[in-house]
Amino acid sequence: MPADQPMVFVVDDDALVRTAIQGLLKSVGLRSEAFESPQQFLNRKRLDGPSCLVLDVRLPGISGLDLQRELSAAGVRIPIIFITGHGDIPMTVKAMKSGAVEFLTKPFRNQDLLDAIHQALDRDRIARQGECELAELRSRYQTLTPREREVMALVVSGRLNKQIAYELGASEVTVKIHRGQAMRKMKADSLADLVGMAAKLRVDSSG
Amino acid sequence: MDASRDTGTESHRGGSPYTRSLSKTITKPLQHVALGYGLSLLLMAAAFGLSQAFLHFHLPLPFTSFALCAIAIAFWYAGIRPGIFAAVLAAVLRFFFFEPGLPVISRLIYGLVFAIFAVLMIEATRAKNELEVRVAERTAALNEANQNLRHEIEERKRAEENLRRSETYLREAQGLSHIGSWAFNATGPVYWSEENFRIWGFDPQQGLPRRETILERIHPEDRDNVVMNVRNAVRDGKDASAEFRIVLPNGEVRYIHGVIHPTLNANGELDEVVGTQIDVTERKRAEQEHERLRQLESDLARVERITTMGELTASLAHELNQPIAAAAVDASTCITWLTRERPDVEEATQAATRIVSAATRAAEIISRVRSMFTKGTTEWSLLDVNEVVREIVRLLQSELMRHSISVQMTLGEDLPNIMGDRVQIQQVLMNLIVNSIEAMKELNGRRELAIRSQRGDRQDILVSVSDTGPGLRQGADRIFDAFFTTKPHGTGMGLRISHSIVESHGGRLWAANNSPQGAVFHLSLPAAVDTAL
Repeated sequence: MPADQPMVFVVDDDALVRTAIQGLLKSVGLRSEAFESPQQFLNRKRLDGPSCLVLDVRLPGISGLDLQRELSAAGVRIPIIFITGHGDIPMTVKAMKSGAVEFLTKPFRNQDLLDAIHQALDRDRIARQGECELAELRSRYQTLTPREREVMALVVSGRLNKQIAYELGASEVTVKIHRGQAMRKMKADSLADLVGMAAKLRVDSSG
Repeated sequence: MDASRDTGTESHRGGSPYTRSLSKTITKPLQHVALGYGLSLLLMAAAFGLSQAFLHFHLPLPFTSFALCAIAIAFWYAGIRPGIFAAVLAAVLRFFFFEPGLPVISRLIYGLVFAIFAVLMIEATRAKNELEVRVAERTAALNEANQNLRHEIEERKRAEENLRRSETYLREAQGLSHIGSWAFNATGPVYWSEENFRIWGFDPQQGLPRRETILERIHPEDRDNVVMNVRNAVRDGKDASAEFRIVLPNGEVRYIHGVIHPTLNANGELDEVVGTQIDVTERKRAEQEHERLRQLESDLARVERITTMGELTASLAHELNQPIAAAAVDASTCITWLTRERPDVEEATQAATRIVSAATRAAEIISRVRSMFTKGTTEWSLLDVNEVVREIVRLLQSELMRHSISVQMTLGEDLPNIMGDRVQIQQVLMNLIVNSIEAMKELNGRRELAIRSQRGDRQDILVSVSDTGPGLRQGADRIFDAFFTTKPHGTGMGLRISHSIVESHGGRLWAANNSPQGAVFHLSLPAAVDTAL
């Protein structure tokens, strides 16, 4: 199974609900895995492809919201769609504020769930892509020498070569060479490009 | 006859002690024998002396007369022997002192007079003695009879006293217990006790009521039954009983429980019919009241159940929502499978099958809930306590989850069944569990409900429901009181009704503190007695 196929995780303590949702996902060609408890879900290995989590808010033991908190604390940013048998407004607000994609009350329309899932998967895809890109940028940045990094930081802050040479106590030529190297290593097409990269990498004149 | 010295009462010939002592006194007026002879001597001397005096005065010679008197007196008062002695004395005196000129023969013949007289006197005295004895005996016998009679009279009086007292007690007893007794034969009533008159409202002064009058008083609806019962009993010679109502002239209705017993005479024919009638009006009223009370209690228990179920609405709604939501998804999915370009019937079937499961599940939940709303009389059957516990936990599953309460069930194996009403026992368990949930709802720590079932010491089953809440506070014995509640909107009837239900099942319900914290409620129920299967 290719690693970048989307996957939907379902956590609900009710067996009928799990099989129903999995049946629905199958009918639209989406992979899914179901878990009875948040604990079981946490024990599962992380995936590479885009994924999202369909989660019942009220579960025995730790609640869905607690799981959300735990995941984000562990740095796992999987998008969550909450489903619930209760129509609890305060909970809805809390859940949405902490970043859930959607909050659906049972019984929901299949289309509503599918829409939310697609939205979540897109979000995840974009996030993963962003991560990928960031990782790539980081690895490129790693190849820069300290001097090149210094120069890059000053370049993206808008300084002229002359000014950079003055600040670093080097010649303009040296600066130009470093700048060229940095741009080449970072594979930036233009200054604007480099500025964007730097922003992503959080590189600024403070080093 | 010579019992003159015999002053004791032992061994005397014949007769009763009475007659014996009497005859003694009469036959021997003088105690001393010597006295008797002395008297004879004296009498003869007197007779002699008198006759000599007469002789002196040239008067006719009356010695024989005097002598005969003396002899008679001697026989009478001194007895037969002294009498004979006196006669002999007389003969001797006459022979020697009077008419010495007469030839010996004539003097001897005169002596014969005394002898003959003596013999006569002997007989006379004997006869007299016998007569006296007989009279004494008769008198004694009469006295004895008189005494016996007096005793008998006394006894009879006593018996009559006892009888009167018995009758009074009986009358009192009848009055106190409202039981009347009566008897009748072919012609009609022959006896009615006072209480019977009172029960039927008849006036004893008017005499025994007639058959028609009695029948009139019986409630028209019960009349035929009573008549039939009596007729059958009389015909078959068997005892019979019946309950019927009577209506008094003032309209008052009384309930009577009557028993009759036909008695047979020596020939085996029907003699009389005796019977008792108990005024059971009070008891009947009490029974009716009791029944009303039972019904009220049952209604109250039902209301409590409904109230509790009302409190569980949120979790029940959630529980029902699950299968409905699942079915909704599956139905849509099914349509998706069927409306694509190439319908996948197999997948659609699977989805549809899942819908059926969901519907079944929903129905189960409803039926579980519905049983809690039953009205009507209790139905007792053999129950498996563990089964009932599991059912009620299933029913409350949602609610427990809603409050994040974990359930620990330690149910003993091979527990005997109990006899009871399923819904009522479920109500008790539900009440205890809901109380536990209530106690742990706001708790910050571990929320654990533990249910345990095991055999008790005696032939009973012990179920314990414990929580980790705040436990029982002081005044814990008040928790079973009516209207005692710590909930702001509680009715305070839950535990009261539970207690009442458990008691009516012959069991006990009590509470204690759990360690390290919380409360535990113990419920003991007697095992069903095993009737041979």
